[in-house]
Amino acid sequence: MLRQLFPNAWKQIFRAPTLALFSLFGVVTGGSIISVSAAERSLPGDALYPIKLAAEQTRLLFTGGKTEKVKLKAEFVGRRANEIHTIATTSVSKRQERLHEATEMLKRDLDTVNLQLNEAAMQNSVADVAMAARAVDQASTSLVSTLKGVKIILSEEEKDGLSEAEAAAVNTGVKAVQVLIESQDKLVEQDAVLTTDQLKESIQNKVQGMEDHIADAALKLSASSGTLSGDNASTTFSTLADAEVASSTNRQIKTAQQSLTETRQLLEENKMQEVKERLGDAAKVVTSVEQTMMALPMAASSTTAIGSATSTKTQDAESNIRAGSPPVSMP
Amino acid sequence: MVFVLERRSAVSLWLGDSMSNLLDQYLLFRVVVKRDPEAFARIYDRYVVSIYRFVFVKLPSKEAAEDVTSETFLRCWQFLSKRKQITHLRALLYRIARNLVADHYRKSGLAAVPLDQTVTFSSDEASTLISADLSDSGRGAQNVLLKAEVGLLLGRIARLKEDYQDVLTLRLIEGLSFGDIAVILEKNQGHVRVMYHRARKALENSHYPS
Repeated sequence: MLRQLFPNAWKQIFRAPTLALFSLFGVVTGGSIISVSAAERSLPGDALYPIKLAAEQTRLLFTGGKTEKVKLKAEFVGRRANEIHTIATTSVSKRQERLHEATEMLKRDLDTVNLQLNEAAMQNSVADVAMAARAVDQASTSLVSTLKGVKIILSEEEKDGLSEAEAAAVNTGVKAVQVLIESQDKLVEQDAVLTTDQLKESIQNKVQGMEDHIADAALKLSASSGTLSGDNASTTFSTLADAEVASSTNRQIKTAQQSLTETRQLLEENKMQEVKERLGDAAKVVTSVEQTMMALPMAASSTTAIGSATSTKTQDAESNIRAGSPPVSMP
Repeated sequence: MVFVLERRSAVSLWLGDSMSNLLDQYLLFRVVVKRDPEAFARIYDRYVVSIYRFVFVKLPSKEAAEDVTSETFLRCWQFLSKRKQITHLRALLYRIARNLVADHYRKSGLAAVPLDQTVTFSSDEASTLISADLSDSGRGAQNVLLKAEVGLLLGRIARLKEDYQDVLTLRLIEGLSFGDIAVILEKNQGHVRVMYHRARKALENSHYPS
């Protein structure tokens, strides 16, 4: 019927995108209804992905209590990480676009988690808030690990934006740890959500995560600018403005490194309130560094420098990532 | 801070919608006045996924959803061929799709509820449910839960009355503004907001049949 009604030239126009679209939806097997299976397996960029998100939003809408919502949102953050892992490690069409969409979704979800955690901290019982913060802490740790692993196996163009997502994940983890430190002070020992050793381990993970992130940023900046002497970038940057930004970023990196060293020192001295403040300061600087790095033009030589610097540690990690299941588990 | 962010988002959304409407108007001009088939192909590409998703939730099978989607664009083409004035292309497409879904059920003699929204699981998934097997780092259990969530949402929406189905699908799944939904459903924006809140309530109160 369609052929009779459409001009001949239109058949090709309609057929190609229609077939391309409908070929996404495979064959019903194993007794599962196609509508549910297709939506559940969908990835960012798939036609049915919004149904998957809508199902999550509906579950969130009907979940009572701010702390329960935070825990649920942390679970959804884990799903975003799994989606990014799947896109990076399987053969999908339009990978770069999908990764971009997945990363934007992840950053949005992390922002929501931060907001919800702040709201919960103001209104709920300390023990409940601590439980929610613990869930967020675990989710962010897994997320950072996933993103680091995925970045190793992607090309420079494909991983654009993942660093920003990683910084956002670290930031969310820091906020969660800050809530945990605050809660630990207020709860008696038997009501504590985690032991002092567990809390310290979590803080050390965050510090390590930020140190790794800053080290990557320093490497990129160094590779991009050629040489940096003191606070002055070389004239490799095409404009004076870029050189000034690079110089400022270099100073921020040093500030972050200093904050993190101080955090480790304070942690050893069990000065938890000061650790909480230093972590917050360091996280702000890490975010700021990430934002300015995005604005800097990357020289062609920088990709080669980064590639050679990381190749020695990537081969084992790469094969593990490709072979294994994603590292993110439910909180 | 939150208020400023919300204002910026509203402005961005308005700009985005305005640009989108402008593009639709341009494409309509190319189709109706210049008889440009490439322009209609662009219209198709712009909206085929949204229309498919919209009818997919309402119909009992993938094949029915494909047929209705194709028919929607065919009807739209016929409408444009008669050079009738269109102010809102997206609304026209959704209206045609809604009518075709209703026609589908009238012709098949079935009630306007998808036949079966029972979620079934493969034997591997069922064993994951029962044994809480976390050997794959919980991913199996997570997939099972996700399938149940999606099944629950689709099943619940399917049991609501048509207006509620439409407003929920367009808001929750398509992410359209109340203004856009009002144009599509040919109601005023206030009415759509009320419908949405009632639909959400009905969704919350609905029970998934055992």
